Amino acid sequence: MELKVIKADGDYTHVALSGRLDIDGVTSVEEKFTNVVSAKGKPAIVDMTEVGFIASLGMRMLLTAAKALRANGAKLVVYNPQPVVLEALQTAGFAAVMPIENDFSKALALLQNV
Amino acid sequence: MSGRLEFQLRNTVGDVSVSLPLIRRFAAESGLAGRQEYVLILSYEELATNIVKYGFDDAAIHRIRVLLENHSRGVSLTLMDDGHEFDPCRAPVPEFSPDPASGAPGGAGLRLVRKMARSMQYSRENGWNVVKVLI
Repeated sequence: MELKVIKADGDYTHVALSGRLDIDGVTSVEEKFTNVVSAKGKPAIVDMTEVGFIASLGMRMLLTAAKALRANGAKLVVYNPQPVVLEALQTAGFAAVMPIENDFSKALALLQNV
Repeated sequence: MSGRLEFQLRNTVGDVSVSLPLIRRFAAESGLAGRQEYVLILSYEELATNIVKYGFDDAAIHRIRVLLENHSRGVSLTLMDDGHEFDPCRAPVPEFSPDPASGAPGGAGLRLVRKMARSMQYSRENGWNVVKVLI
């Protein structure tokens, strides 16, 4: 599991996750993810293009960050999840806190609408 | 292709983690891909983790039995544990709250398995919880 920081300065944070967000994946990436995404308190785009698997532990990692940002008046947008990951996120009912968008310019626009 | 895999793990998160590759290999050997592969691995991780974290009332080491079968009706996953009686098909799971002040989404894993697997059955047999998931 990898976390690539694409943009950490400026108005928003942009990171990309790749690999499997299973028990091991979350354990290996959670601390860095929290430090980069939640701690800054800025709107964030999380690129999920390369994430092939997510279980509830991975969703909890995303959701904890989304809630922390929301408390700060900022939003976390999940960008471009694979179809089965998208289905799981929608099934879990998390779209209300974590909008999902497959178009990058629309994802950026969503960050502005808190 | 038909197939069968049976193994046991201890009631630790580490054992769940270490056994995940067995499930992935079984999925590959059974020709599962895409959504079916995902649901099998998800069901195993969620149900096994749930048993490990909440299934036992003592600190002793327990054995959890796992059986994977690929048959004409599809792939099934059976988990057996001797913890306290718990029916994951009927256990209430709280609705998710978007409120930032609310805690972690308890029951999210169970909710996912219930909705994404084809079916899930529970029985209590001689002091054992037996959960069978059809993928």
